[in-house]
Amino acid sequence: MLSFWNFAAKNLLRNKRRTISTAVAICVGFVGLNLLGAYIYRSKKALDVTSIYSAQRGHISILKKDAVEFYQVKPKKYVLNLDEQNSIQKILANMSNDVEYFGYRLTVSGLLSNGIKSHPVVIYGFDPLAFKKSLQQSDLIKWAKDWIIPSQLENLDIFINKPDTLSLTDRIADILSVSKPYAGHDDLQIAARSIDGDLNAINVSLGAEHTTGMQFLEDTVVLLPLKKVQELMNTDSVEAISIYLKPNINIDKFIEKFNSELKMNNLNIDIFKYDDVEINSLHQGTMGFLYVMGGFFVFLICSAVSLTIINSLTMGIIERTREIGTLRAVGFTVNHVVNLFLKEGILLSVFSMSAGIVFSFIIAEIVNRLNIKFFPPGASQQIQFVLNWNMIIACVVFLLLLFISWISSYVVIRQKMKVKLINLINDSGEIL
Amino acid sequence: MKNVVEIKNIFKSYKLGETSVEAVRNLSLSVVQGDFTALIGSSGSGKTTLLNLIGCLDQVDQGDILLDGQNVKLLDENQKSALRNQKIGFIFQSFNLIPVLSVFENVELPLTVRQGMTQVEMSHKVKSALLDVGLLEFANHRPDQLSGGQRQRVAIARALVTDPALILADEPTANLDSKTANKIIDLMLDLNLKKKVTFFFCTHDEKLMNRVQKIIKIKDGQIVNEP
Repeated sequence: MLSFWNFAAKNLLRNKRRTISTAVAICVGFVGLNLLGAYIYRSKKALDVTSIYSAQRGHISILKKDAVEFYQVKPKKYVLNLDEQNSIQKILANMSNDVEYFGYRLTVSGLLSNGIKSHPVVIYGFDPLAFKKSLQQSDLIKWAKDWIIPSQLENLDIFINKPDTLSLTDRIADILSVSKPYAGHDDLQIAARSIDGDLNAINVSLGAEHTTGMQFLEDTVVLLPLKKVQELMNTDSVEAISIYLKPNINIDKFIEKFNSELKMNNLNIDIFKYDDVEINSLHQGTMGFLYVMGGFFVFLICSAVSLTIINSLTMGIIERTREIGTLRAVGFTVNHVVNLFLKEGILLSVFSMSAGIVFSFIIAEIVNRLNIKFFPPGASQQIQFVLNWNMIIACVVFLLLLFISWISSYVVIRQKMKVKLINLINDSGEIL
Repeated sequence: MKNVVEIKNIFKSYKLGETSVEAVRNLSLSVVQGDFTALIGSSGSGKTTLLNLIGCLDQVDQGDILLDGQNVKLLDENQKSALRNQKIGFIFQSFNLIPVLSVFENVELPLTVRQGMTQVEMSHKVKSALLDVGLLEFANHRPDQLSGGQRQRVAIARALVTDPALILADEPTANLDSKTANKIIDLMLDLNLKKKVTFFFCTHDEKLMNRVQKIIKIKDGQIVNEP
């Protein structure tokens, strides 16, 4: 029995050259969108894991209300004191189904000196246990291994075993003329204002290195275990608590639950997700840029694919005008004819995009094996250009282009069906 | 015998640039079931227009056309499509076969949009139609593998397959040589005689005119003889 799909497939073979060139255009468009989506997806995952684990923000950061704005100016007023920490700890203990671990943070600006040179730095106080757990996260290794220095993974217990260990960037080490290996180097001194505003100083020993990932932070940020920073600031308070959730926990739902617990305990707290602009403008800015650029390219590619289909189908319809009239004469309704042409478009798209899935995979594999390195804007070092081919993205692109194909075909054939039937039949088409 | 077609005082005009041309003027006629009727007239007399109006390929400006008792003016596009599928078979001068389909599939085409037919029933009808025109052995051939006469036979089979009340043919032998044209005429007459298929067609072919039951002459959009 002659089915419409069968008929559609045969029609596609009518003009093989035109069909193949249209198929190639759809395939290329699909590959382009798929790999663009893969790159944006990879970029987002990398930003996510570095924000959560490398930058120690956790999935959620909690600070005293308005601390984001005013902590640097009035730290004493905007820290979380011991009582507040204990209350929050109790709440988190009751939410252990969702929370994997948490850690405290405290930052202060100061001067780092080797006795000869001094350099202004931001001292980032972190929880060594939380830091160790974060560096061991498989997602961090998977998506952001370029941001991890191998020595960090080799010596995960250094901050636990030696809590006065300072971690330097290469840039700061150069400024202070400190050469590797850092272990065994003379102690450095850090001076900063205590929480009460007095000047204080402590000795720290060198033993670790890190990278901030950002050019503008590489000569600024040093890492020091929390207890030493608290000693420097003469306080047992913390600036923020980073909460790390278990896999597949919905962050927004957790925030809602957590917020109500905080209100019940009369805690005046701000809660931030790791990608909130108030605490992570880099994430917002970068993803915003990628989405806009990506959206622009999606528009361009979809337009090109649509126009190719419209052009190809228009040529086909012009050649088959009398045939369309004949189909209508033998009893095909307008919808039957439209249906037939839509099936042609769908068949062609499905075939082209199926080939596109294979090509996307092959191209991604080749690119990844080539180990192409590049400097992202503002980055402190080169990272590998990686295309993480993703089935979900491929499916979304598949459906998008299928829709584009459908709508392009529909517009063209519907336009033709407005022509009077008698004019269709009398058109000079292919004569047998 | 009942009237398959009843035409009552129809008018049809076309716009050609700035001017309006009256293709059919106050025309009335009937086609009886089983008739083998030729519509003859010079070029521009309105015979093709009349054929198209009867076949619901075009619409009258005034008047009524009743096809098997149904006034086609009252039908919407989908209903006209259904009427053409069930009641009318078309044979075109240029055969109008679908080049990518086989002979079998070309003949099967009108049945693919019919509801309630099984695959077996459709296959049987197609084979029966091909048998009637003597082309069963060519079922798997494509139209470009057939001669002109064979292609027209396929077109006749396609017109027959739906058991229509009426077959309309627009110059069915115009693109054929005389020997082939004769064979096609023989086939049409045979179908008319044996299967009581009603034929209504326009032609210039004198050989065809000599063999028809009825001749209707049309001139300037009006019938000039009563059959």
